[in-house]
Amino acid sequence: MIAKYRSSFFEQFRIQRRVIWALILREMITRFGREGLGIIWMIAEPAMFIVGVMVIFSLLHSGEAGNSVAEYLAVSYPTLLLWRNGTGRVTKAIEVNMALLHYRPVRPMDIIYSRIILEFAGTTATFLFLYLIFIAIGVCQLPADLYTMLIGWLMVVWFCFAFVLTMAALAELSDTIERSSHIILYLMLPFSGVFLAAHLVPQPYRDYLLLFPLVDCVEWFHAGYYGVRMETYYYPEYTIIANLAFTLFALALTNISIKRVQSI
Amino acid sequence: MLELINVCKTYPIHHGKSERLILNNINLCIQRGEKWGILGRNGAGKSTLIRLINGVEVPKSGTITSDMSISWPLALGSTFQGSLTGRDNVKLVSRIYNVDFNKTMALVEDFTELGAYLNEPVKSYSSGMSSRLAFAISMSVEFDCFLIDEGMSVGDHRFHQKCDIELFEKRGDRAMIIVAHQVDLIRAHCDHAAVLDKGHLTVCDSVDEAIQIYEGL
Repeated sequence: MIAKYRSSFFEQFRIQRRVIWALILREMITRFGREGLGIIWMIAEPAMFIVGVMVIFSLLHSGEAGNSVAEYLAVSYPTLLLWRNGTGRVTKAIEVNMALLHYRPVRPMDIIYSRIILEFAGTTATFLFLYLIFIAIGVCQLPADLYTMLIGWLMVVWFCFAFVLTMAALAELSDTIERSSHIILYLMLPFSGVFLAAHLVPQPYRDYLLLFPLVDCVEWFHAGYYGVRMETYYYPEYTIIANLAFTLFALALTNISIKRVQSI
Repeated sequence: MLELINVCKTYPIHHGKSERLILNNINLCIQRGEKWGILGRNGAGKSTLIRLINGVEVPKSGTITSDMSISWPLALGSTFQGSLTGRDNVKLVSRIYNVDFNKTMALVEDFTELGAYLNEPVKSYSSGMSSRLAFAISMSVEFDCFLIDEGMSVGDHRFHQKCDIELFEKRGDRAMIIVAHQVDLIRAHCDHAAVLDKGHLTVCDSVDEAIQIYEGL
């Protein structure tokens, strides 16, 4: 086969899809190996984390009327893992994998995409796995509105995609941000929609909180799961527009940072 | 055709406060099937030039265009992921370039004579072993243009003989860019040559002229 790289958009798209898939499979082996549990760690590690958090918080707090803390965390904590673990995974990814660029079809963005896809797929799978178990043992219920819940999850994933890209690009552009990124991630917790649900915040502060799109996304997701059992607040149009703008910003910033990595 | 037009490359020094010019206004045009030798002393910028052509790094200014598919620098073992086995690396490359894995694997097994080592992590390989692997894998993708680094000299006699057959005989119709600080390889295989010195690339009329200039540096 003669490998050609100057070709139509669809041909390029096909190549990129193939490359990203190759990188995902490679990443699974380098990260999880073949010994011991191997690929099962992809779900086992976040699952253990989520269950641990649920146990601790359930012992510390009693839930609000009707909704247990464990139930709340089961449908909230995975959203947190998306942006927190995702950021760690993508930071410095290109620098570490610079050698892969010797294969010309591999472009820096593919390295980032493959890591994000693997991380998000792992977290989503973990959530589904735990959720089904929790339904079976009675900790969680079936979603009030599956469709809304699904769209809500996609919104969270969308926001986290842009967020992770932005953090990775900023880390590349500034050592200060790279070193302090875990502080930023920690201080973001109150604005994650997990530890401070919108209905706990009085107006007008609630609307200020909802200006941060992640809160809207998580509320959207909660709305689908809880339905009338919990008060949820989100602005769908605002969420979509904010996510879209954030994504464009993130892609532009990533482009700048990639150019920088490649010129050092 | 591979074309470099007014390519400049700098690296930051003094913690980014100033820059060092590595390649200064490089112009080079390589047609299909041409064998180019690029001579230069240590630190002349040969590897940087290879990385630019290869697309690992981007130039500070100028453009590089190509309608040929370009190989990774042959025999450059560092392309590999150390924690992956030789076999996994073959798998990765065959997925990226969309070539048949089983065919590639058979070719690699035959060429490298690494045997059971192919199931061990590449980081446990000697430099000779990883260049054999890198070379063998690159033979499975039909590139239009091969980048050849002097690193090929790490192989033993038998490896060199095999390389000569596979690369210069069977794939004699492809373009090649050989970068070296020893003149033997270039004298034997190239029909065009250039000398890289202090960031400037001097394209010579003949290989002998280039060797003369290089030896006079």
